[in-house]
Amino acid sequence: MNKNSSASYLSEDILAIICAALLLAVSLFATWSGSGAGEGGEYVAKNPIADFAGKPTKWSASPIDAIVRKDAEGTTDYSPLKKIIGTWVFMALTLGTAVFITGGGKRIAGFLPAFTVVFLLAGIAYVIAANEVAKAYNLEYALWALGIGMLISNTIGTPAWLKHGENTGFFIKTGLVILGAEVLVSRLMALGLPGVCVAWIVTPIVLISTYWFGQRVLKMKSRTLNMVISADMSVCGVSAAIASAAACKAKKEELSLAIGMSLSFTVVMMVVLPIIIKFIGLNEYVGGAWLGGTIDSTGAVAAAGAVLGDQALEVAATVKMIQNILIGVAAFGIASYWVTRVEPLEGKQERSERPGLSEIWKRFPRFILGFIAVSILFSILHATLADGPAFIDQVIKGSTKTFRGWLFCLAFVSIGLETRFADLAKYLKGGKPVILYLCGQTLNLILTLAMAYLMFGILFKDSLQ
Amino acid sequence: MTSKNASHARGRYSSNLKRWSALVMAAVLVVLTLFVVLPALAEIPAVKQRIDFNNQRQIDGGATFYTDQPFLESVIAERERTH
Repeated sequence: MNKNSSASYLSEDILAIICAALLLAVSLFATWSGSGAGEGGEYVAKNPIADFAGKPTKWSASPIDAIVRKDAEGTTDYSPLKKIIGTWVFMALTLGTAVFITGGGKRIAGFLPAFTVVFLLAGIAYVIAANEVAKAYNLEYALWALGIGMLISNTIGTPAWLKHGENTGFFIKTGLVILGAEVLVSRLMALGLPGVCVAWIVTPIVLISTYWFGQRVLKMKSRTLNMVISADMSVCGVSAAIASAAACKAKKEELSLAIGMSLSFTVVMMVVLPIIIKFIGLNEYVGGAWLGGTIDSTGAVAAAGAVLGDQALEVAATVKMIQNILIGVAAFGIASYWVTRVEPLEGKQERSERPGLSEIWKRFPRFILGFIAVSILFSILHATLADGPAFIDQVIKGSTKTFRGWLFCLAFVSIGLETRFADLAKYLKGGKPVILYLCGQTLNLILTLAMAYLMFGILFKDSLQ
Repeated sequence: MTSKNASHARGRYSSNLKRWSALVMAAVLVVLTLFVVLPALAEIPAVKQRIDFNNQRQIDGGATFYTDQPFLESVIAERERTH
């Protein structure tokens, strides 16, 4: 939300938590009311929102197929279009209410048309990303959304009226709190100890070492850019970049740059790493774990793992899934480090002057607490309800991941609309971000290979056969 | 003064025209990419093979989080059943 014009007593963080809580509560209630005993008496979970919320579907021959499909008999299916419109209604109502609370009727009149245009641009990004070729080569929606936004801002410039519809920070924060529902800690043990060791031991070491390297060796001026690159390279690409950028209050251009670099290197790694693994003759388990721990993007990990074989695919995707779950801890850790160590230093205070608990509480980004609370709540429901896994899966699959995806896509369009090419070039000066990424990724490749070999090649070798 | 204003207006008009032309050209490129380039790329044998390979295994190469990955649903369900 626009902080300058808001005379509200509610902060952007609290509003994001309220909006996310509302969307999550509606999803939980809808799934609870739509589920029950099936014909055979067994429990069947169903989320009715899935019929009204969605995104463009995969297409190959024509982009129109992404929103209006034709089946083999020639019947036209408008359900993707209906779902997109349904999502717009859900979002406009929820986010519009937040705008109304902060700015009243005058702001909502400006917000609704601008939000609709930003939503349309996000829809175009989604349509391009839904193409089969784009999917096969991991050209994710974030890239297209940023590109479309930047295309407008760097040609005709973003019109003033459209700025009412871009609320980057608010979209990201709301999306992250909703993402908490997908970070199911209760799922960890079922995924296996070797994978947990690869993802949860190596990842924090690489994250901290890369950040340290950027500060002490490369002497990067921007600590936030240093942190976002370190997190998206060591944890899990786009989602980790969003979470870390929000946790350390990075600039929008820094997030764009980190994501652009991550996606570029991912495309190379997803093609080259399987070739190297085959060349050196690693077994599928070790190779899969190596891929899962090092390739940034979840989609690219699966595509690369499948090239090695079914076992490698499963191990690679499992390790990446465990890394995905780590982003809750990473975001909390980064936010805590920032408010206790970095912000006092930037405020020119003496190193010995640590902020007190009340000061930390005042500075701590509240939405991170919302994100953690949602993760804990959904993990408890997942672990304790009689049909918890089926129920929670329906809540996520039927609606929350759709809302989360759209919110992030809207955020990327907004970032693009606010970014000039010249701003990005400024950060690339001297090539330090690229050097940081390359050095960090090299360390990641070495440590992950060693840990993958130890876990999947020696310690748990027999239990995997 | 009047001629200075007229010159400014002409300059602004020319700059606006350039910006809009750039946007229109970029938009045309996007449309061409969507309707011509991407469908044509999908017909290249190596690309087609990769797409079919991913489709057979229900792999979404553009997934940003594990919950976006269709093939993982059965893997997770099996792990949770046997855990």
